[in-house]
Amino acid sequence: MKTVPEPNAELLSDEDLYKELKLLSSLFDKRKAERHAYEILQRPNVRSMLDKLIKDGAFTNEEEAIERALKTLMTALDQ
Amino acid sequence: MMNYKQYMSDNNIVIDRIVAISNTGPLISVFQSGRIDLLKIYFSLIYITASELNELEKHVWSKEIHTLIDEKLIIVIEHLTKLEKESSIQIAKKIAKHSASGSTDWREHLPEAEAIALMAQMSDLWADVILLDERSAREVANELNLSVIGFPGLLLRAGFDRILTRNEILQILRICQQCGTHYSNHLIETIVKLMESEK
Repeated sequence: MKTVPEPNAELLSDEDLYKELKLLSSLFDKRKAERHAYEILQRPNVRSMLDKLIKDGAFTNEEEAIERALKTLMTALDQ
Repeated sequence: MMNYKQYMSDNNIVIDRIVAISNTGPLISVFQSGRIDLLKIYFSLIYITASELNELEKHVWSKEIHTLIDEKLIIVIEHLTKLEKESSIQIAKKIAKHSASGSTDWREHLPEAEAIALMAQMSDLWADVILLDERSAREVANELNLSVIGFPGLLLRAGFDRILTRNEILQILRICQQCGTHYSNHLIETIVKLMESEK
């Protein structure tokens, strides 16, 4: 017969639900952001630009290059 | 039952699946309700420990768990490091002492303690969350600042994603109750109210 371990154990309460919904949303958002970042970084033209910028010493890593590029774009668009 | 794949495709819904370490309780609820599809929608990978696998087999859930292992949705962590084993014992003792615990014998809490220890120490598993339903184990995991969710929270999310209806969630939780998983009536009522507020 199929049973459950510790049938008398107290389980989670309704108060936990709100926190869990928030947590799940943030986890799925994080995964979505990672997927978007991965897809963009996989594009050959983006990859080659980033590699060149880092190789030339303009930036130490991809994060720095992307952040600076966005800031530059914001300034250029006068945002 | 809704064909969720068709629904998600028709509505362009993309869910970026997460990685979890699970205790036996939420998996048993999934098995009791026959909603393995929910695991496949939301998780790319779920880790369990060897002692959890033993516990599931002991409670006659072998066929269900081995199907998911064969499908590579679930991976069994066969061996814990010395540090993880030591940590598991400390965690199991804490759970046993908790007022909401179902047993004061710490050995009975080793499976969930091992899952918590893995989540706390094995960053190379890239687990986003630990699945736990038991209040005592959840509170110990919270003390360690771990991200914890339970089966009802997952159902609610599925409700908000329009994968499950309010009535389906109600039915799933009632089936779990009838099969011996004691989600409180108050918890179920809250889920129903939250679903109604989403309409």
